This record gives sequence, structure tokens and C-alpha cells, in this order.
Amino acid sequence: MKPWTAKRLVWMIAISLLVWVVLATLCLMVGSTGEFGWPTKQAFQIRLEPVLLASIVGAALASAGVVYQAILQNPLADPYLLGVSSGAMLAAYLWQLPWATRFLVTSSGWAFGQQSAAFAGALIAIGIVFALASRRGRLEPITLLLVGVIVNAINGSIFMLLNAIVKDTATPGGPLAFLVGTIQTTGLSTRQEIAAPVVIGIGWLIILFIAGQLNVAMLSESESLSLGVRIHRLRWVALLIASLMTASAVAISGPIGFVGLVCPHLARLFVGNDQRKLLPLATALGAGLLAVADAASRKLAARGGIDTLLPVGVITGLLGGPFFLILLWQNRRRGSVV
Amino acid sequence: MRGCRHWSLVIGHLLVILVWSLVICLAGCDRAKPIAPHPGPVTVASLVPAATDVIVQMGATDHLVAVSNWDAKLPEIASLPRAGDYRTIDWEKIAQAKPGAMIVQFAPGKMPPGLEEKAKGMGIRLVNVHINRLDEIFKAIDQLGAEMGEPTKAAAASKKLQGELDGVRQRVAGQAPVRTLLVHSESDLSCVGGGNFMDDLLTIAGGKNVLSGGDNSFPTIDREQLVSLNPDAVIVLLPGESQQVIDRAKGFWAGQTTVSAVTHGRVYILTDSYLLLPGMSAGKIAEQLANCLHADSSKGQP
Amino acid sequence: MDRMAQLLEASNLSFSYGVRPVLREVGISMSSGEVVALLGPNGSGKTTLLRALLGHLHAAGSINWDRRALSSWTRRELARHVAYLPQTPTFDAGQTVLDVLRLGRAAYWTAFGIESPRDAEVVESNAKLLELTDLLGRSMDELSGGQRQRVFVGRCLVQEPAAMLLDEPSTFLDLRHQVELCDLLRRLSREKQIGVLMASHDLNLAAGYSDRLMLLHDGAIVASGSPSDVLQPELLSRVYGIDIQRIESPGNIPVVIARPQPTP
Repeated sequence: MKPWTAKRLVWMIAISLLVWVVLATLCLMVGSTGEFGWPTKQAFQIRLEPVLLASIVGAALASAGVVYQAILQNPLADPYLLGVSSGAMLAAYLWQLPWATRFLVTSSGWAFGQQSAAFAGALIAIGIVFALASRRGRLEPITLLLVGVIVNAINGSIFMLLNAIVKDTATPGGPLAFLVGTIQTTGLSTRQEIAAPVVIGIGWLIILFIAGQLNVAMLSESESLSLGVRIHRLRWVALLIASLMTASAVAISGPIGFVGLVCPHLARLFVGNDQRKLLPLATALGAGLLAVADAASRKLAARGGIDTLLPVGVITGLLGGPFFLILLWQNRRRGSVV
Repeated sequence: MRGCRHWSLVIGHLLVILVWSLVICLAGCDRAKPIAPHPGPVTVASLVPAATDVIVQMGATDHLVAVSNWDAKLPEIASLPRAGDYRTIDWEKIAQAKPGAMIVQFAPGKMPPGLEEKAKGMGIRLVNVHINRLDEIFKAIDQLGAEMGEPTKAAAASKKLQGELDGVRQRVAGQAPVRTLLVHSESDLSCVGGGNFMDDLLTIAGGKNVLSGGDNSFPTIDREQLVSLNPDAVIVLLPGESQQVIDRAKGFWAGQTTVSAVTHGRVYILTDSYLLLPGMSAGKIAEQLANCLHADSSKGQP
Repeated sequence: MDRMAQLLEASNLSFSYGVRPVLREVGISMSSGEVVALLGPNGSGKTTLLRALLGHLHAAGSINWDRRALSSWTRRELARHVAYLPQTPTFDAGQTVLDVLRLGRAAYWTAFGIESPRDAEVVESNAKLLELTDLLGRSMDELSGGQRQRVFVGRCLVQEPAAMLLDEPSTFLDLRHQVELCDLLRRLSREKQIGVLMASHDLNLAAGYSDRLMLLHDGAIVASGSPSDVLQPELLSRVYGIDIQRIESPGNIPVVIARPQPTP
């Protein structure tokens, strides 16, 4: 048996980084103007932003997905299960309504932008889920899942209710592009563009730190305790960090589905279910694949293609769904449950 | 054993009651009595905001008995019931309003069959308009005028609109068309392409749509395309949006420093409620656009 | 006497689920190299007692491991000292034997889950001891029940514990594997000086391989001592609620069976 030494961890991170670099480079060579190939200086500068942004969002979602699947002991868990995306969407929607104007203006100007509102909405939703699901200070996986589903449903219903009632705009719609999940930035300030990777990076390092304990978290409560893992504290810390990372991602781009669900599984095909190896690779795959999906939508938007920029969430859905079916089918043949 | 038999009796009774009630309901429903035609001028329910706009502005508001869910809150129609839109129709309100005709907008072949049946059953004449291009607005004015028996008002309205448009044409005559990007509400780069009335109005107002000629009438572009198109003017259409949305759009465009329109201070944000409405306000829209593109003082700069 | 009971010493343990008392003033002790069997019918509190001794539940009373109060141990420290095997151990589908064994070293991993060469040594030597070396690459769901249970014992052993607490470890095994497992546990106890405390359903099996028996009834210890002392028919009949017969076996530990009911 080869022990998991620090050197092997560094190698794993290096390989994952390489995977991402390769994918990201391919994405830089693709755009809505010009042919496939190394871009002009101007095109490079423009494409760099969506590629990097997609990578950060994809990385956050994939690593959150790894954590959720480990802690909730459920291979179908994704980062939106505990209310993050529905909370963000509802807040973003409320933000743009006309009657919200007086709440958003302070004497010194705007209180916060749509992204901050989305982040706040996500945090509130998570807070509600954690509060409702904790019994005597402990979080049980099944209770969390149930409460998450309920809170998501309630948020969704409120959203649909408001959307049906509020018909102030002359054209149905309004700035709802946020809700479908796009990478094309609606003008993130430089401060936000630096804050997001920093927050997500710190969160990722913390998760890597506890990756060993996440392996143990897949066992029953008593077994985890007897192997030296303070399982109750671990659940709180891990879910909180993962939720914060997801909230940051959703605040930037709106909810983008499938990345958090599929990338951990994809990485497992290569390295198995050891969270210490899974985390770096799944993160790199998340970053790379979302950048690829975004590149695909940018390429399709070119003249002669479908002539409009598809929201990247549509592409991840188109790719993610069939991938999952293939995975399920393979597992059925092998005889074990996903 | 005895308990089982007792329960099956109860269930059997309940089933019979249920079926009986269903039969009664179904028989009663879907057989609204035909409405006697309103004595006097033809009454109209308009489920198309553009049509409502035309009717109100041609001075035929007294014909309106119901409007659509999406109509702007104008004082002239404030008291009228809102009876539906392209997705849903409130038949109860329609029945109460008793229109002689109902204006809808469906693509050919896309009209739900149930709708035709119901309207026929209630004795309501369906008027299917199609207003996408500028010339279709004029056709609609004539069509609606004919339906309501107000050909004179329709002709007058047509003439007025044509006059407004000709005025704009003259104003910009001789000036080079400005390469313009038209952006509408959905997101900062949801644009207006060719093949619709906004594009037609832009051309009249002395602008050239950088996105005309594509397949999509309302394409979304990305920043790479924006920079490569490099429009000389950008007009952002945000009818009825809240202040925070407007400010956010301002912030976005202020950041696009490689675009010619931005560096030359030619980004305009318009918020009038009639923008994007293919109705009688088309003339005003054209004037607004011309104000932006060919005037010394520009409105709504960031 | 004091040196003998140094591994585990617990007294006055009481615990209730809501209003229902499950443990009533239970006292228990164990020394290194000793095999103690915890007997009693369903619901007598065996599992609860084991979990209380590990601090998974907050029981009233005092618990001392290695003459230190349980509350002074951190989870990691305790994991390096005491191993636990529940009634239905968990494993992930697709995990190999090696994966399961490695996981037992979790209490020794450092930050980021980094392992040391010593972890590899311990896993390999215990795999050899339990004759699992050839099975290391096999998937857990391909193994038989007996083999799997050996793997879980291995997971406990790699913790390098001074004590092992097992909850009915032989329940789902066939006769041969039951005997093999108990024999293994006794050998390990002697060779590695591990104190083994196992809850058991099987009176005779427990008696055959344990140094001491403790009989639990309704949350209280009603008998404690050598197998011969504890296997008293009247006491057992009362505790288990059926007629129990004791059969002497000269030179060996007596056997107890349920007295056959006459056919009506």
C-alpha cells in the first residue's frame, strides 16, 4: 500500500491544474467572432474574462458538490439542495422590482447591487434550512435533504406568485437573465472580481484540509466518532463552507445546474471515492467543463450559428442529463447502486 | 369480513355521488349562453397591448370593454377589466363585459382550437391581428377601424402616424445613418435585430442596426461580438424599469471602454413606457430615437 | 487489584431515552488481555452501554479509560485507544478491502488527510495477521459475510487500540465463522494484550471464549463473574423469560439450552 503522502497530494493538484489549463486554453481559442485558433490580443483579453469566471464558478460548484455528496451520504446531492439557488433567485428577482427601489437607496447611494442581493438571499435560505433541520445542535442528513426540498419549493412558489402578480413592466420579462444562469458578466466591479476567487479559494483550502475526515463522514455516526472524527462539528463546518462557496458562485452567475452534480461523479471514474484525491480533480473538471460549456455557447452565438447567446445553464443541462443516464446505465450493468 | 363489506358499500356510494356530480358539472360547463350583441357601437375586448394602444389613441376608447393583462396603466382604460393575454383568457370577465369582438394575436396555425370554439359559442367575433413590422401597424389600424365601424378615425390616426414618421424622416434627411446597437430589457446584451418594427423605426430615425441581417429578431450577443461590431451609438430600451436596474445598465455600459459609442459618450438610456410597443406610439418612438442619434442635446446619457 | 482494572473502569452509569431508563447504575471494568462478554436479552441495554462507554451518548456516572476520565479524552486520542465495531458496520459500495482497512487509520492522519509510512506498515501487518493480504484488492461486496467481518475487525485493529468494543459481532455469521471470529478475538486479546468487550446473543459461544461474563437485565447488571458462576439456570430463566436448562460438561464450561417444550 502506498501511503497518501504530501508529495502525492501535490502531484494530484498539479495534474488537476494541468487538466484545467488544457481545457481553458481550448476555450480561449474559441469565440463568437473569428475562427478556431489562438486569438488576437484584443479577443484574448475579452475572452479571458468569461473563461476565468466560468472556471471559478465551475470550481466552486464542483467542490461544493463533492462535499454535499460526502456529508449527505447521497450520490444525487447537488449544491442547490439546501436552498442556495432558489434563495438567490428570489432575492435577485425582488431586487429588480420597482417597489424595491426605496429599500435599496440609502443616503450615500445604492445599498447593494443585484449580485449582493442574490448572495444575501442565498445565505438567508441556507440559514433557514440549517435552523429548521438542526435538532439539539445536530444536523441529520435526511432531515437536511427534506427541509432543503421544502424551502426550495416555497421559494419557487413565492417567485412564481410574484411573477404572476407583478405586471408593472410593459414587456413581460425584465432583467431576468440572471435567473437562467449566465457567465457573460453584467459588469462585475474589479473588487467583486477579486473577492469571488479569494473567498472561493479560501473555502476550497479549508475543504481540502478536512478531506480526510470527509472520507470517514460516509460511515455511520457512531463509526465516525469511534474513528476520531467529530462528525457533528464536521457536518456544520463542511456544509457551511460548501454553501458559502455555492452562494458566491450563484451570486456571480445565477444558478447553473448539473456541474455540482456531475463533476464529482466524472472525477470518481478516474480516482475512485477517496475525497482527498477526488476534490482536486473534481474541482478542475468543474472549472474546465463549465468553461467549455461557456465556450460552446459563445461559439454557437457566432453569425451562421444559432445567432444568439444561449445561457450556459442550457448547455450544461443538455450535456449533464445524458451523461447521468449513461452513468446510471453502466452502474445497473455492474450491479451496484450509483 | 363484515367490516369489509360495510366499507365497500360506503365507497360505492361515494363513487356514485362523485360520478353524478361530475356529469352535472360537465353538462353545465362549456355551454355559456350566446351573448346578445350589444346595441349601439361595436364593443371590443383587446387582449393585445398594441391593439389597445391603437384603439385608445385613435379616439375609439368607448368601444373598449376589456383590455389585456399587460396594458399600461393609462387613465383612459383604468376602469376596464383586465381579461387575459396571449397565454390565458378570463372567460368570466369576458362574458360579463359582453364584447362583440375580441382582438388576439396568434401566428397562423397557432390559435388554440378551444379558443375559436368558445368565442363562437359566446357569439364573439375573433379578430386576429399580426403586428410585427412597421407597415403591419398601419394595416392593423385599418383592420381595427373596420372592425369597430370607425373608418374615419382610423384614417385620421393613420395619417397622423404617417405624418409623425415623415417628420422624422425629413429631420434626419441628408445625414449619414449612425451605426447603432439597440438593447432591450432582458439583460445588458439582449439586443434587437432585424425584421421587426423597432428595426424599421431605427432606420427611419437615421440609424443603421449593426445586428440587422441575422436570423434572429432578438439575439443576445456576447462582449466579444460587441467589441467586434463596435457600434457608434448604443440605445438601451428599458421601458418601465426600476431605478436600480437603470443604474445597473449605466454601470455596465460605463465599463465597456473599448466600444466607440462609449468613448464618444453616445450611450442613451430610454425609459418611456411605450417603447417596444408596436402601436400608435411608433411615431413617438421614432422621434425619441432620432433625438438620440441626430440632435445636439442627447437624452439620458450615463 | 488496582493494576488489574486499569484499562476501563466505569461506575454508576445511568441513561434514559426520554422517560424510559435504559441503564441503571451500571458498573463495569476491564483489564488488558481480557475478554469480557456482555449478555442479556433484546432491549436490556447492551448497545446503549457500549455507546455510553465510548461517549457517543451522555450517560450520568463516571467512566475512566486508562485511569483518565472520558471527558478528558479528545475524540482522536480515544480513537487511538479504543476501537468500536457496531452491529451493522458501514461500507461504501465499490470500496475495496484495502480502502476499508486504511480508513481505520483516520485518527492518525494529519492535515489534508496525509498518511505516513507507519500507516502503511500497520495496515499491511494487520492484513497479514488476519490473512487478508490476498483479498486487499477485492471489492467489499464480493466477500462473504465471514470475510467481511474479518475486514472490519482489521479496521479496528489498525487503530492500534488497547481495547475493542464489539456489538454482537457474530450475529450474522454461520456457525463456523462464528467460532472462527470468537477464536480470533481471543487470540488477539492474548497476543496483543487488547481488552475485548463484546455484546453477545449467544450464551454458549460467549461462555466458551470469554474470561468473564456480565449479565444485563433491564438496564442493570444482575450477574458478573466466570462463565460457570453466571450461567445459573434460575437466573437465566428469569432474565430471558423462558425455561433454561444447564448441562454439565466435566472438564469444560457448562452448556445452557432452552428446555424443550413438551408437544401439546
